[in-house]
Amino acid sequence: MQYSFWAFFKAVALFAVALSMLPATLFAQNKKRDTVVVRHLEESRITSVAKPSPTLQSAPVQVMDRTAIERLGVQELHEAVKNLAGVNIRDYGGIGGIKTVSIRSLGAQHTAVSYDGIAVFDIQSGQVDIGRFSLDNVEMITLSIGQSDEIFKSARMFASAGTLNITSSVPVFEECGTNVIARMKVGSFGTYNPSLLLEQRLGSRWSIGANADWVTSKGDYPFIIDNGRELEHLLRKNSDVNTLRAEINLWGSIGASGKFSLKASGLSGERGLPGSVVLYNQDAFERLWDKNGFVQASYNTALGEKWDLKSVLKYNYAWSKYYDESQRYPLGFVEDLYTQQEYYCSIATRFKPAEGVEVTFAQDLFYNTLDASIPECPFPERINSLTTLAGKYQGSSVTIVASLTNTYITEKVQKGDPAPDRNNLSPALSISWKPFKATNLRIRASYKMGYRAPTFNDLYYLRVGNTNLRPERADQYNLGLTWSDTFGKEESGWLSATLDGYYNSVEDKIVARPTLFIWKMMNIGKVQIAGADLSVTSRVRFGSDHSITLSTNASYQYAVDISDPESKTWRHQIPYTPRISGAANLAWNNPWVNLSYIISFVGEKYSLPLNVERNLIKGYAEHTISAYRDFNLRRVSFRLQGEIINFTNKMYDIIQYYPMPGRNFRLTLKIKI
Amino acid sequence: MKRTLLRLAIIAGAVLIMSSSSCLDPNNGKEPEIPLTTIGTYILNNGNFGSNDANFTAYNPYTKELNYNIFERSNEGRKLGDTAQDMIAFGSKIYIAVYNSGVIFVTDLEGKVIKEIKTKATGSAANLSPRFFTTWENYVYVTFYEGYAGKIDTTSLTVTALAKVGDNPEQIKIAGEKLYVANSGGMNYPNYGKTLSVLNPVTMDVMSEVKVSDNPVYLESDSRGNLYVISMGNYNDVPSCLQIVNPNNDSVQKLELEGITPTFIAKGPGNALYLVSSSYDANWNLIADYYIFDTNKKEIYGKLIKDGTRVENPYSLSADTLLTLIYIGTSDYVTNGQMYVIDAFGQMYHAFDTGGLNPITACPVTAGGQKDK
Repeated sequence: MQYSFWAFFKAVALFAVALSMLPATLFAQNKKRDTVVVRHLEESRITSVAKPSPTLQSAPVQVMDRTAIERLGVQELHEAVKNLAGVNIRDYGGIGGIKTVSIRSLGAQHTAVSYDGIAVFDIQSGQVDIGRFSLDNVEMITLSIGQSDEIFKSARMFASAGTLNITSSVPVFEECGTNVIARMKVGSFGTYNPSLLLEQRLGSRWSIGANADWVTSKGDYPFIIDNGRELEHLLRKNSDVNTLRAEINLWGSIGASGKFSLKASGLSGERGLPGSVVLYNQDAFERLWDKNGFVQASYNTALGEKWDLKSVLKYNYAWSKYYDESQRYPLGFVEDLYTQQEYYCSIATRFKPAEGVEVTFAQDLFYNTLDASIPECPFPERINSLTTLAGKYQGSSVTIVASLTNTYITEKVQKGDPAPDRNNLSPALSISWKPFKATNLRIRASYKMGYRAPTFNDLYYLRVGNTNLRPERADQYNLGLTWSDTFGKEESGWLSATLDGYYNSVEDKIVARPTLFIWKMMNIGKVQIAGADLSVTSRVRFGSDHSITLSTNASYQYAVDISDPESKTWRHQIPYTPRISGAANLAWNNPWVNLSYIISFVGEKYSLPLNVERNLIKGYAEHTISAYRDFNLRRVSFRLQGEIINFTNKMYDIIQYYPMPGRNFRLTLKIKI
Repeated sequence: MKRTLLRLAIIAGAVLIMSSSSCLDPNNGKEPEIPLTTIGTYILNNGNFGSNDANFTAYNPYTKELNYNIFERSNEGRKLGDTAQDMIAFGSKIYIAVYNSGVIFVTDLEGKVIKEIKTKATGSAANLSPRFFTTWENYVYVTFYEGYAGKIDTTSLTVTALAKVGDNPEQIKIAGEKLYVANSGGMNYPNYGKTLSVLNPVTMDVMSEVKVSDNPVYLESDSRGNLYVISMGNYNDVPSCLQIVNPNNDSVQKLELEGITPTFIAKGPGNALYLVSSSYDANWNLIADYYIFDTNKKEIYGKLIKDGTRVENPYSLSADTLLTLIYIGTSDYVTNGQMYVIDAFGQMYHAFDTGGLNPITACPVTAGGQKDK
C-alpha cells in the first residue's frame, strides 16, 4: 500500500518534469519578453538581470547588485549580507566557520536561500551555510522579508519567512566571443584563493561558461581570552580550510522567447573545526569533509500573449564526513558519514489578464533522503509538495500582492515510526500605496504566515529526535514607509530611505530541551519580536567622474521568550539576538583609487536564554577599508584591490567562545581578457 | 519539638565553630580540640558545555548565607573552566575536577588555587578529562573519562599512578579496601559498559572486573562495607537499577524496588542511603521521587521528603552526614539551578538559587576530628 503510494508520487513527479519540458517545442512563437518596468535611478549597467527597486516593494526587499558589491569591495557573501537591514549573521569565525542568516530574529531555519532562483536546502539541519558561496561571480543579492512582489517563481520561494536570493552573472560578450577572468586573492593567516572563469559564445543563441576556484587557508589567527587578571594570547588551532569549487553553465535561447539554463556545480572541501575555546584545554581534533554536487536546469518561455511558464529541475547530492579523535571514544576516534539527496522539480505559470494584473500558480515537488552512519539512523525519506496561488495588482499608486501556499509533507523511515503527514496553509498579503502624487513617499503593509518543517535532525537524530514535532510557525506583520527621489542640479544626487516597524511571533518553536539524561526536541518555545529597521542610501555625483555613496541601516529587535510566565527566562531576550545593530558604508568612486569604508555594529546579546551577566556577549563595531583601481594594458584589463578587515583589531565573538579574527589583510588581482 | 531541638543543636554547633574560625578557614593553623564538624558547604555548578561557566558557591548551612562565584573571587577573576564535574574536600584542600577543561584544581579551603593538575596518558598528547573523586587513607582517587583511574598523592599533588580501566568510567569508590570504578561506556551508545573494574588502591593494579547491569554510573558504600551501584540502563528498553556488590566475593545482588527507577544515590548517617527515582511520562516530563533506603534490611525505609515539598527536575543528590542535611540540586539546564536542602526529619530546611547552571554536587567542608591531612 505504502509503496504504491510512493510509486504514485514518483509518477506524478516524472509527469511534471515531462510537462515542463513540453512547451519548448510547442510554443515557439514570437512574443516580446516581459519585463517589469523599474525606474532605474541608479547608474545603469549592462546586465541581463532586472533589479527590483527596494522602495517600490510592498514588503521589505533589499538588493545589492554587482555595482554595489564592487563599490563596497566586499569579497564574501556574508560580508555583503552584513550590510543589509534586519539580518543577523551567525558566524563561528574564520574562513571555515559556518555562517548562517537569520531574518528579524526568526532563526536561520526560516530563511530560504536560492541560487539563481532555485532553492538550496539542507534537510538535516534546515539551515544553509552561506560561507560556501563565492561572491566572485554573483550579479545580485536580494533579501526579501516576508513576501516579495515577484510572484512568478517557484512555490518554495513563497513558503519561507524570508529569502536570500543569489543571482549569478550571465555572460556579456564584447566583439570577441570569449571572456577570460583570472583572479588571485591572498589573505592573512595563510589564505590563498585563485580562481578562473571562462565563457564562450556558441553561435548567436547559446553560450557556455566554466569557473573554478580553490581556497586554502591555515586560518590560525591570533585571539585573546580574558581570564581574570591574565589576558591569554592564543592562536586558533585546527582552523585550516581547503576547498575546491567548480561550476559549468550553459545558457541558451530556444525559439523566440524561451530561455534555457543549465548549471552543474561541484564542491569538495576539508576543514578543521576549532570548536569553542575551552579554558585550560587547547586540544582540537575535529574535522569535516564535504562533497556537494548539483545539477539544475531551468526553462522559461511565453505561452502566447498572456501566459508564461517557468520550470525547474534539480538534483542535489551532499556528503559529509565528521571525524574526531579522543580516547573518550571506545575506538579512540569517531567518524560519522552523512549523505543527503534531493530531487526537485517546479513548474510555475503566470497569467496576465490585464495591464498591471498577474496571477501565478506554482507547483513544486521534492524528495529528500538522508543516510547517516550513526547508530539507529532510520534512513528517513520525505516528499514535499508545495502549491502556491498568487495574485498581484500593480497600479501607478497601489500595489497589492496576495498569495496562498500549501505545504504537504509525507515521510517514510526504515526503522521506527515516521512523523505523521503534515499539511499547512500559509497566506500572505501585502500592499504598497503612494498617497500623494507630488512625492514618491509610499506606505506599505504586509502580513505573512510562514512555517518551517522540522528537519531530519529534529525528527530522527539519535535519541534527540522527536517524531511528534509540529512545524514551527512564524507570523510576520510589517508596516513601513519608503521614499526615494533625486535632488540637486541635473539630478546629481539621489536619496532613498525605508523605515519599517514589525511584529513577529514564533509559535511551537522547536528547541532541544534537555531532560535528565537525554536531550529531546520539543515544540515548547514561543517568541515575540517587535522591531524596526531603518535604511538610508544616498549618492551624490560631482565633477564628471566622482561619486560618493553613503548607505546606512539600523535595526532594533525586542525578541523575547514568552513560553512560560513562571520561567526565569520569561521576557528575556532570546539568545544571539542583539537589541540594536547596524551598518554604515561610505564609498568614493573616483578616477584614481576607489575607496570604501564599512562599519558594522552589533550591540550586546546573550549566549543562553537567561539574560545574566555570565551569558552576556559584548557588543562590537568592526571597521573595514577597501581600495581598488582598474587599469588597462593593451586589451587586458586589470584590477588591483586591497582590504584591511577589522583594522581596529577589535577582539570579539559572534558566538560565545568562537573568537573572530582580528585585523587582517586581503589583496586581489583580477585579470580580464 | 524535635525540630526545634535540632535547630538549637545546629546553632550551638555553629556558634562554637564560628567563634573559633572564619567561614571556611578552620583553625587558623591551630588545632583546637573539637569534634569533626561541618564548617560550610560548597555547591558546584557544572555549567553549560562549551560555555566555560562552571563555578561554585559557598553556602553556610547555619546562617543560610550564600556567597557566589568563589573561584573567581579567590583567584583574581580567573574562571574555573568548562564543565565542572566533581568536588571533594580532603584535609585542608579542595579538589575540583573540570571535565572539559581537562584539569584538576587543588585549592585551599577558600578556593584559592594551590595546584593545577593536568594529566596525560602515555602516547597521547591530549589532556585526560577528570570525572569523579573518592578518598582513602592519604590519597585522592580520580577517574578520567578516557578510561583511566588515577591516584593523587595529597602531599606532592601529582597523579602518581594511572590505571587503565574500562570505557568512560564515572564514579569511583572504596569498599572493603578495594577500589571500584564504574565503567559506563557512555560514549558507546547503544553498547554501554557492563562492568566495574576492581583495583588495588595501593598499587593501582586492576585485580578483576565485576559484571553489572548496563551503564553503571553511581557508586556508594554503606557502613558495613558493601558497595551500591546504580546502572542507568540504556535509556530505552533496559531500565536503571540498584545493585549491591559484596566486596568479599564480588557477588552482585540486583534489588527489585517496585516503582522506583534509581538515578542518584548518596550516603546518609548510620544505615541510611538516600535515593532519587526519576522517570519520564509519555510527554517527556520528568516524574521524580525521593527515598531513604535501609542498608540493614535492604529495603526502602520511607520517603525522604515528608512535608509535601515538591522538588522537580533533580540533577544531583548529596548529603552532609554530620549535620544530616540532604542536598537535592535541580536544573532546567537553561537557568540557574535550585538547591533544596532537606533536614533529618524530611522537612525542607532551605531552598536557594545555586548561582550557576546545573548544580552537580554539594561538598561539605569539615574541620576538627582527626588530624588534618
